[in-house]
Amino acid sequence: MFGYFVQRYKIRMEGEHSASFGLVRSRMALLSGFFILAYVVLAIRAFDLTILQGQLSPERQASITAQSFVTPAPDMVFASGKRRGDILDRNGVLVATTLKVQSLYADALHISNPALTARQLVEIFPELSYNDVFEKLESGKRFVWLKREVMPDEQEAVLEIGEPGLAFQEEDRRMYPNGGLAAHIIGYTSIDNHGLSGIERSFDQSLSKGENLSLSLDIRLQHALQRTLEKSITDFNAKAGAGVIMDVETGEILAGVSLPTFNLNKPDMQNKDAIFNRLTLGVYELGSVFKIFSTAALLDLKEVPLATKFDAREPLESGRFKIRDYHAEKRILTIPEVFMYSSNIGSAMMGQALGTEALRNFYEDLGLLTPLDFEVREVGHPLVPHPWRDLNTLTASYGHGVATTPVQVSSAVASLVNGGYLVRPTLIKTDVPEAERPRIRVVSQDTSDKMRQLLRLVVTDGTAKKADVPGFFVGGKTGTAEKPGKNGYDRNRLISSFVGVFPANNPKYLIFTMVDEPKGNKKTYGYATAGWVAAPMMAEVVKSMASILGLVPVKAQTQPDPADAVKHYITFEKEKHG
Amino acid sequence: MKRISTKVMIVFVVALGLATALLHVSQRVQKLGDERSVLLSDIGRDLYDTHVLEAEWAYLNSPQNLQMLVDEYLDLEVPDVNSIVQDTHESVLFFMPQQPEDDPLLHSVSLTQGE
Repeated sequence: MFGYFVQRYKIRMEGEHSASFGLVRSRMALLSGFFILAYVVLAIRAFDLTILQGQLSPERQASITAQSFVTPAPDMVFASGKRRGDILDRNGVLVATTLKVQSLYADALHISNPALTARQLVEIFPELSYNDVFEKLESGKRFVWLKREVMPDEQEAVLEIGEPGLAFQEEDRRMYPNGGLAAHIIGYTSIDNHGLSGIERSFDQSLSKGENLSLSLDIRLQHALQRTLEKSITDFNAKAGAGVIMDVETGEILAGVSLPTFNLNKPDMQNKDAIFNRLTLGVYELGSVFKIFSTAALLDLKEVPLATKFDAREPLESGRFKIRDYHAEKRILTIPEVFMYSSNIGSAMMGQALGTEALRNFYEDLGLLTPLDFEVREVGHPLVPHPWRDLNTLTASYGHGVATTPVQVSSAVASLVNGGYLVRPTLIKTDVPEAERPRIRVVSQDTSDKMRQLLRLVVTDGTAKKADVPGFFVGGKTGTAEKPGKNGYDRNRLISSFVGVFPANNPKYLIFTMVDEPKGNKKTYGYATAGWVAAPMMAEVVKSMASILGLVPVKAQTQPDPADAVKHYITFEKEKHG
Repeated sequence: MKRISTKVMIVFVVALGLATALLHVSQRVQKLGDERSVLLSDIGRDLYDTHVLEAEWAYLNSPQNLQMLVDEYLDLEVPDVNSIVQDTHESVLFFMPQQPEDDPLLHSVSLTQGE
């Protein structure tokens, strides 16, 4: 019985042993299989890495090269939008952009021969001082700038020195392809590309994000205006000048010149005269140009007829002051005559008729008395009489005692001739259709029409005959103002200005020109008044604009001259010049 | 044992196949990634080169530069305005007087009359 059980157990044990052994075997085989598989995979991978990828394909080599730049490749800069945005003119021409340049620095610890290296560097960069460079190379500092923004040939010369402690770092450099054109409007940046003046300063945030900016400027017109002003300044040996071309409908400034100017690529901060922005920061008494505003105020607020007369036979007395005429007619004048002959007496009487509050409010509504709300932050504060007495009303009627900026005067005149809608000057190109622009009326259409006719009259028969260009219906007003000096107004230091519009029957463009302290010459018989100095510039600029923009002159007699509508108010007793 | 070996072999073959396929895919992805990097780099470089050319073009065609060249090599003047003629194909004449339109957005605000 016991033997039976032993036998049976033995058999069972053997059977179980045999089954377990098989299971272990199969597991061993499975495990081995996995190991073999892993080794095979490793072997294939090793083959891939050593044989297949051992010989890098051109693409792979280029890819590794592209990814291993120490400094970001240009595409990275473009893609990330870190490059400062471009500034373009209204036609898409680059006026400010950013390019890569190399800057030289030294790792002074690795300079083997500071004295020799300093001498060689000064030979390449003569503007550097030997002592300064030597001191830097001996400083032991790991990073010290030696020369920012080096040219390619200078970089090559430095590399030829073979000094391991000299190295280059790529930097962004702001470039201005047009040099000194529109310098005061565009502005400039610091060496670290932060805007310091002009548009560069006002739009620093968006430009820094890589956003481009389209200006209202047309760089061709900018050049034409600057060329004309420069010639006038030279011809009349003047101190400075300024000019504006504006679209009277949109307020877009198509050109803005302040002379003397400076090269934006190398701004000289010491030359304060050139850096000074005469367009928006300088405030000037412009004299008779202001008669445009006092005349418009009278016509609009009092609704008087053009035949209204003013007695200009005798100087106008107010207290101890006497107001006289430069082009004295010494007779009773109608409104067109006061305007055409630029009578100070007549204009002062207009101011008197209006009253102090009405005249001041009118000037204020045109934006002449408060700082300009503008894209450029360098704006001047107009000089306004304080307190404003009745005498100030008389003088302000013909432009004395009130000083404002050329851009403000241009905008105010544009508001009076464009149908009577307030113009806000802008330097940014606007694409808003006319119908969608909110418009604020400042004078009636009737007043605007009359002002167009009066401005045209000044050019056909008044003080600005030299501004005329046949076929373009140029209209405008001269202004000759004496500059204030230590002992009152100085008769020998003038500001001659002209503000003109064309075509006067439906003005599209306004041109303002101003010359500071012109001296008369032989051609002008010694005169330096606006009729001789500033008005001819208008004609020159209109001619240039016509050829640049393809403006076609109107053939004689095909359209009525706006001046004809007011000529019957004029008594032509004698011809006057300038 | 015989049955287990067959299974192992099948698993082995399938795993090997998958590994090979995976390797092929990874190789392909890597190659395409490299090509993309190169293309992006080339595009960026070309963009920058174009940008430099635009800047050079702007400088060379700047009115001041052209004026300087004209003064030095040519004898040109501002054309006579009477030489400019109307393009008969243009439908709008620039100097045609336009009547003001009724504009619903027009804000007729009298700022000065204070009524």
